[in-house]
Amino acid sequence: MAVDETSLEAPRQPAAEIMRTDAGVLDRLARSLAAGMGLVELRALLRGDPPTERPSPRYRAHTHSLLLHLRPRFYAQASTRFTHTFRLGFFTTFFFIVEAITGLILMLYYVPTPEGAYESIWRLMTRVPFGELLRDIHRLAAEGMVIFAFLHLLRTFLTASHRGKRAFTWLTGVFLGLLTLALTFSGYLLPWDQLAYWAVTIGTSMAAAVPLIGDELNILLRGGAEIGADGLLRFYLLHVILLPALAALVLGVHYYGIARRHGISLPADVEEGDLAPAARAEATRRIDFLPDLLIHEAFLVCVGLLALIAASIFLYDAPLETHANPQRTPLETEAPWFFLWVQGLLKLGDVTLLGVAVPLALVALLLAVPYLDRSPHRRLRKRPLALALTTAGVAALLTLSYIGTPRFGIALPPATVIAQTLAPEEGVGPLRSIPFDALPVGVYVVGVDDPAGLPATFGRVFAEYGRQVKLASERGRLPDAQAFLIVQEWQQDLKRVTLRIGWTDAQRGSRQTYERDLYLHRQRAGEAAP
Amino acid sequence: MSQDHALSRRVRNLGRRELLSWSLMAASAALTAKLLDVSLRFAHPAVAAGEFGGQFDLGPVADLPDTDAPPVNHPAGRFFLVRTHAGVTAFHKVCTHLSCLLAWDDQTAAFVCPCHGSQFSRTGELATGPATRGLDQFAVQLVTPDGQVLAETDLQRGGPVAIPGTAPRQETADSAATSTPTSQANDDEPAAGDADTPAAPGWRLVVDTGRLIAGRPGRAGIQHGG
Repeated sequence: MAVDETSLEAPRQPAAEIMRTDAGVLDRLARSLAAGMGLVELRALLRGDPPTERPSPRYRAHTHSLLLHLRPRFYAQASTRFTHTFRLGFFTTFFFIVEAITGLILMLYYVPTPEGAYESIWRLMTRVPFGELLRDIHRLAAEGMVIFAFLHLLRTFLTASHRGKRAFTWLTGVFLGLLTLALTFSGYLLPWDQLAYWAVTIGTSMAAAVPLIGDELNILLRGGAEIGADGLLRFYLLHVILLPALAALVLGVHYYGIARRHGISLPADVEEGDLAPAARAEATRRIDFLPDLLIHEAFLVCVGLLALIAASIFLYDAPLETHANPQRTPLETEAPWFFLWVQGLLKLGDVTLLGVAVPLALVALLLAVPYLDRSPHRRLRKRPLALALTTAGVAALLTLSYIGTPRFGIALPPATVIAQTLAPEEGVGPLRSIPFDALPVGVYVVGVDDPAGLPATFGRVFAEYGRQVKLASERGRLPDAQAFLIVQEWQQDLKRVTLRIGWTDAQRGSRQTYERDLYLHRQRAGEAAP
Repeated sequence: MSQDHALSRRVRNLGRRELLSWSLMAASAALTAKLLDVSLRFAHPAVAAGEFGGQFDLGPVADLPDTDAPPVNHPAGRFFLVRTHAGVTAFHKVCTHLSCLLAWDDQTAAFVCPCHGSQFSRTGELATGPATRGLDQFAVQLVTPDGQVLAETDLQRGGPVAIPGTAPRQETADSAATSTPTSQANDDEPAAGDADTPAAPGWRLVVDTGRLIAGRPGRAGIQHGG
């Protein structure tokens, strides 16, 4: 912004005057609250004017205020380039703070007992104003934290910002990543639904596979032979007290290195490239925290909050499956997506080797990265090995995650697969998505009734049903298949929908039938009565 | 000053101050270790190995399912009761891989784990991984009305408990021999628990879920029927 000299000088004089007049009371108040910055200085901050006093009250504020003391006074211009950091660490921290705040609010209603937990989540979702929104935000921000922490790790490695005096910061970062996963996983059990119960049963069973201390670890976590009231309370306390406290501490240590010791790294091009003196001067020009970085961060927070709220309203619903049932493991039990790669590993072989040793070795490798990486270069084009390893690592994670998906390598009987696709035991699926009034009572036979003549959504599901039965029949998995979709008026406002598939079993030479029944009520979860 | 002197010369002897400092460090370390121990003991739930469960009375032997019937689910005791020609076995419902609950699948005639796809045969052998051992089983006892134990599962090797009145087939005679009738030492003597003796009315089966017998490691082909 073009500012002429007079306007730059102008505020100084009134400032001194205000100090001497009665208005000085306000100024003194501002100075006592804003770490020594007076009214005129605060206005100059917002206007983007240079400091109004010497020495700069802005730098002095970093010494006097605890919160500002945690922040750096300035960064080099090149470090603040968006394409250098993508603000990944910033947003990871942002999500952590969102989690702390929304978590605290959710604790108003949450009850950590097997009898009360599920119901308290229902109450939160259905009868507490904004309860569902807060829960969605809490869950979404948790997943965001996992994604951004992972991307932050990749970015740091790819820009070679983990060496030398940054090595210790890298170590704390790896621990923060582990704490992020532990926080997310411990929160997973709390709704006490099927998804939660069985994912955590698997997780704690993996702990049992650790040599020597495994059984003890398993029983300490579960609070008994099976997960029950004690286990839920333990996970709750881990989730709301121990892990957040640890994460806040390690985050403080992690950030202190950046704020006080080594700053954000310069882009490799600036550090190693041949830059013209003018360009180098520009790249290393100081950008002060007050006001430029602070205002930028306020903007990022607004963008982050807007994105979280909009996504929670329009795109994302935190899932809640049926109440936990220690007597029944649902079909296609699935780890949370960020642990699918572990589920993939587990399918491949021994628990102790693949479920415990491989992930631990991976963590050890991450911790050792700054000490193993001897390349003198920082620019990616001079670090082909680093790039290749990163690509291979990400590809391996994706492949293992694919192997970890429920359908991979688990041979469900073909009729069960069709029923599970249309109406899964847990979750919604196409059949349950049909509005109550669009379910016409009757018996519909695949290959006989024309889906085109049926109500739109129902017709689509019926057509899909027919397509899958036909496919399985053609591939010889369901010889002589006969399939029905039966809708019955069961009670007032309650319909029973039956998927019935019959086929000839070649081995036994007899006719087999598979049935799955659903009971659909007019007032289903979150669906208002007309 | 003597302090300056102390700083400038090399300290060779253990002084009083240093001794006390080291003692304090050692005491702090001991205290920390003890506190850790106390915390672990405090947090350790009041369960011991094998303490899970209790005795489940399955009723008179005459009420048992047929030898070809599918496994019977006993939810309260967390076991499937399987009866073959060789006898009765109570398999823990929990997959030996990562503790998901198994379901009996009639179409493939196997116990199938819904989590990672392990399969076990009707007689508890591992058919497909990723599990690495067969199904765990609970001790089964054949008892008379006055509480005398006639036969019970071999706690070392597992295997079915023979039910009187069912002649074992040749193919399963091997596993039938793994049960140990407690009232006899010699297989030739007819005694309680012997398959040729008809069961007396009032004999009952009891499953003790407090005693878990780990499944056999390794893989075997699926054995239909058993």
